[in-house]
Amino acid sequence: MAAAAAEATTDGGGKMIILISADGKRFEVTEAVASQSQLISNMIEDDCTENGVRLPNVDGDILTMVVDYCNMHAGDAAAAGDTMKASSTEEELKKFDAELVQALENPVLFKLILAANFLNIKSLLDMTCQRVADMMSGKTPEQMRETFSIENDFTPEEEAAIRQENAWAFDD
Amino acid sequence: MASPSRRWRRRRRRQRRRTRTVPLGVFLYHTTLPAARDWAELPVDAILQVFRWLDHVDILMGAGLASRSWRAAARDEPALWRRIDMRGFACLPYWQRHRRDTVRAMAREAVRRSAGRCEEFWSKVGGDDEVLRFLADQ
Repeated sequence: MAAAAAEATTDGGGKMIILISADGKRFEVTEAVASQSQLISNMIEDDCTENGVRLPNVDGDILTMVVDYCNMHAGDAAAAGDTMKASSTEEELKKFDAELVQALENPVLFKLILAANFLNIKSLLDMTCQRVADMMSGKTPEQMRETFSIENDFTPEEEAAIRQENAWAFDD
Repeated sequence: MASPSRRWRRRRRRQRRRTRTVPLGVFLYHTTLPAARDWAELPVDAILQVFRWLDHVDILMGAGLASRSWRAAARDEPALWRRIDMRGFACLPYWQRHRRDTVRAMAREAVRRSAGRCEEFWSKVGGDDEVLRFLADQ
């Protein structure tokens, strides 16, 4: 079984895997594309992808983005041998990534982080988390709550303690 | 008495029906909009993935104080404080940057959170004897 899996990856990941989103949408991708997700890569190794991989906590529209991302980045490893090709695709990829991450609305970004975290796709998780960190940088707790629509869930006592312990963050 | 107003209402309704042209994208946007508290309910490992990209000054000043869950993630994870980078001091407002006790208190808190596992400490203004001694003690 292990030999069969190895064979599939060496010939450009010919074997197909079906990913099924929470709302039942099906995506057919090659093993090479899917195995960018550490989770699915482990499943491939364990040989439990034959009946499709159900992803009950990833919506179809988010999985579409994830699959697009993985399709774009699957070329990465394949083109690595050819330096000329690699450099041009690298530039394209950078552009694709930048456009993707800039275009994301707050709620979609949130779901994409959850999906990348669950599927364990490191590069996508890094990219999306970095974007959120950029949005957080230089903000006060109150501005943070505004940006991310977070409720202040501290009790008045906790709030007082926080203000005392972290006096530097409150300008009074 | 009621008939003119009813007629008016009916006309209004008809007008509304005729003029309502909402782009589909609006619906798509609203269906993907999570409830207000979702960002606070990000799983701890995902919060930490985000915090990893932040300067520690940012965590101490804002992100780590926004909600219970974010505060817990910022406080109770020594691994986050293994390499303390306080160079963000330079971006603070003048009045804070130039108060030694502020700088010292933040640096102390950062070292405390590392629970003795701090391996690196980066700072431009906090090269204070007391903080360094505290760091050495830990």
